[in-house]
Amino acid sequence: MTHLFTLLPALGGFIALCLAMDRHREDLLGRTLSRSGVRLLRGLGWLLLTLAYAVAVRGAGWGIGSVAWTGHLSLAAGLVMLTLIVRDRRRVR
Amino acid sequence: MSARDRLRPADDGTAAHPAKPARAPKPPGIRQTMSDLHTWTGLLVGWVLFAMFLTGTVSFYRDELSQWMRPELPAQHGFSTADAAQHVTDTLGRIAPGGPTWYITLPTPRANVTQAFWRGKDRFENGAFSPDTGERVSARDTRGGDFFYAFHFQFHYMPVLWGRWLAGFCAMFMLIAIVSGVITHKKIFTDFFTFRWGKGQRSWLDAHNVLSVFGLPFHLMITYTGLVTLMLMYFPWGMNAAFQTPAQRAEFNAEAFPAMAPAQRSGEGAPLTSVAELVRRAEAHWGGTPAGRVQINLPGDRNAQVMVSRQDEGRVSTSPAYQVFDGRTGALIRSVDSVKPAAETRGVLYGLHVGRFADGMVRWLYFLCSLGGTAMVGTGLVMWTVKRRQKLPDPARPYFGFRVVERLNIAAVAGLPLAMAGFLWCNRLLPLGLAGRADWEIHGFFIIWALTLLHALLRPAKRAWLEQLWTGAALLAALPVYNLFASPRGLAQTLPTGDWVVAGVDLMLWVLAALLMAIARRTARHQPRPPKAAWRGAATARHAAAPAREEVAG
Repeated sequence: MTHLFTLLPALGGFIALCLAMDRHREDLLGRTLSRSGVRLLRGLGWLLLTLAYAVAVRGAGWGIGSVAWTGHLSLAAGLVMLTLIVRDRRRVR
Repeated sequence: MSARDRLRPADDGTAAHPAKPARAPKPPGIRQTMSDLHTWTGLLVGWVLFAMFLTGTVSFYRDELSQWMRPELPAQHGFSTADAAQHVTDTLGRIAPGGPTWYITLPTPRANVTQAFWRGKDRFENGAFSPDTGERVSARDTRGGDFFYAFHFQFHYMPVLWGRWLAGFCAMFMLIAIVSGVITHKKIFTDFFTFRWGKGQRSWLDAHNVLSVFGLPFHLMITYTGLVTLMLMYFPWGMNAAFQTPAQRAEFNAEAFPAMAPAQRSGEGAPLTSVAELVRRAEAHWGGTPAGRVQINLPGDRNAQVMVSRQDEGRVSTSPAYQVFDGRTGALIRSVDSVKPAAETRGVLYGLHVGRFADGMVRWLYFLCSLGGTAMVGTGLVMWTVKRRQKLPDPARPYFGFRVVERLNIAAVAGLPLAMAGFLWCNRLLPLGLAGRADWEIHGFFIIWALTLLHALLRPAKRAWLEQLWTGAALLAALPVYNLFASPRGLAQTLPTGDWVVAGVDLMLWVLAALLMAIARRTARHQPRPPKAAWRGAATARHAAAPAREEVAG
């Protein structure tokens, strides 16, 4: 359970950070965002990544929680990346 | 013309090259020098690193692989470590009475037998024992998953020390490649999610960057901690300076490793107390964490001692945690629960590397990150040729250095998985009665790997890639099918009974086969033309990637 609740906010965090980047936001949403909107998304992203760390440490302790958190970050970033690639390929076809 | 062209491919468009005075108005910047450093350190040891990474990756599932490679042994469901310790002690009392020391590794949910080794008449002997009965179990002669584990830091066919030095040398280069790579990569954050598909060299660089950056904490950790596991060998001077007398050495060893004070044989016989009871007491002391190892000194003697060590489950550190008991009375002699900060630091770094504390999910994360690291090294190696192929004066006849790298890449990146699959096939197909069977499995692995190199040298490069990737995929995919018919623990048996340790290996072999297949199909589509036509393709790709190339030369 700890793992799921670490992975989910990590995923959400990377999605928010990804949408906060101009290139990807235009690709995904097809629209621009105000400065404050971007800042909000970026803040939300980092907040969710921090939340994931809190969940991991609470569930598994400082040592294993930290290890699990970095692993889930890698996995979450990889999943977001894969989604972007698959989406991109679909659109090209 | 030809002499200059020979030089050109080595030139990354750096301003450092003396042959191009027009482009050398100032010395190369830090990024450029780091980029060159990254390229050449990576290339020099890349093939070895790829092998270390891939065999190390599968070593996270070393116990599972060992079970898969000994299918005769039944799966274990629920055993008591205390009873297993007692059973094996009883058996050792019969087959190795009075032996000065017995070393016992207890079963875990991932390892279905009790392992023991002891000093026999003239050499060390070892055996596997049933946790339920203590009877010696016999399985095919194989090194199991231990082979890949040992190979990933000490190789084979060379003295162990040489292998470890070589591994350390490569790991130090890896560390340099990681740090210089981070410096070279200008836009870690801007390009975090950037992958441009179908853009030749640009795509390879994107893939290499993504694999490196996403797994960066892991890559740094695993490389650095890998060095730490053998630090006393690589950098012994600190230890030598601080601990000089034998007494100081003994103190050091007691801090760094589980150790019993040497006991004097009394010559007077006395039966061993209940080992099961000692294990239970130690486990209760650790709050229920199971014992992992038991060592018995002078069994059967009045001065016998029993050391029970904690399993590495549930804590990152591997620093010693154990209890020593009087073997006759069962009285607790010593209990070690923590070590001093320096030893604990080493224990944590060591523990991070081997990941034995991991639960199922964290082990998967280790595996995935490590596979990503393998792919990082692989894409880096391939990129060296991709980048230079575009600059070849005549792609049909590349210069010697290019051909060497190209062929070695094939044997390393496509040939190694093929040879590893071949190793598993040797485990299945070699006659059970073959003398030195375990050694022949390993010889088989290296023979097949050597054949992939020969094949890569003889065939056109692209054909060689495809043929080896497809062969590797076919070999992997066929293994679970063979097990269905020929193994007592094939998927038909393991899936219904929930024997996930072995079923997981079979299913994973299919996943890895699918992965190789996907790479093969992609390779086939990527350059569907013969060399002459491919050159035109490369020319357009170069056009597309031109601005990017100036930007990052790493």
